[in-house]
Amino acid sequence: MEEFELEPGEYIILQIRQHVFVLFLKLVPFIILAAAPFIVAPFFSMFEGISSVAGDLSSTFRFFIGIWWLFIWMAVFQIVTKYFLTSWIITSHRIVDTYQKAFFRRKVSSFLLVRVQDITTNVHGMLATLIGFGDINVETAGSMEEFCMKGVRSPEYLRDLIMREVAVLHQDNDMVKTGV
Amino acid sequence: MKGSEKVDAFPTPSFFSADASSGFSLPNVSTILPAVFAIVFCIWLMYTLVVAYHWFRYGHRSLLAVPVLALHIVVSGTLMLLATVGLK
Repeated sequence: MEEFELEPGEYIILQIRQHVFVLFLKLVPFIILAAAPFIVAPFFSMFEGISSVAGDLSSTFRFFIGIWWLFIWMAVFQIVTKYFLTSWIITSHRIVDTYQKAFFRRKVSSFLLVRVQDITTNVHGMLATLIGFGDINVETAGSMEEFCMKGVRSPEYLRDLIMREVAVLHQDNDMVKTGV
Repeated sequence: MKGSEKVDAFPTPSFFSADASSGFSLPNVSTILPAVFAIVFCIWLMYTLVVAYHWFRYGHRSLLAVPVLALHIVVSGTLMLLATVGLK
């Protein structure tokens, strides 16, 4: 069963995710954590004197490094999974917001383009300006909820794209009302 | 009371290679590490099943689902191999 089904005449215009750089920023702490064993290693070698009792410490140390990196890899893979499973799908009629907050915590919401009132883009900081990513806030009529996607690529382009689609929809509605 | 054998009500666990004359010593890691690895492997297996479920349930349209899961298994396998090689 699909999470959402396209209506007759509806088609997907674009599927967007966060910028890859945003993903990279989330992974930086794990790169540091992965290097941590090499900082701890000199302290670990202090115990080599009792290796006859504790067994071969070099293989023990490798064991713990392997397990440590395995857990780091699992954390990294979880972030990558969340990155890929979180997206905005812009169709000709609506925007579908799928948000994977954690495993078994997924939110899928959609709002019609005709109800879009205002779109705000926010590009904050030097890196965001140079690399070209930012936030988009979409306000809809009759809903207190504000749809926001953080760290998307080319937010201005997306804003213009959505506004263009909204304008087309309003134009079509006006033509239907006036019977043209 | 018959016999002079002492009964030890609280015997020292076998994974402690402590010699009474030498005082305290570290537990024998060669017996503990396989148990630790077994626990870690179980955690990894459950995690992998959950991740695979999410990729196939929500990312099935993407061509990346299978290669990404294959990458996860290859990298995890390499790290587990790194951890276990050399253990006695």
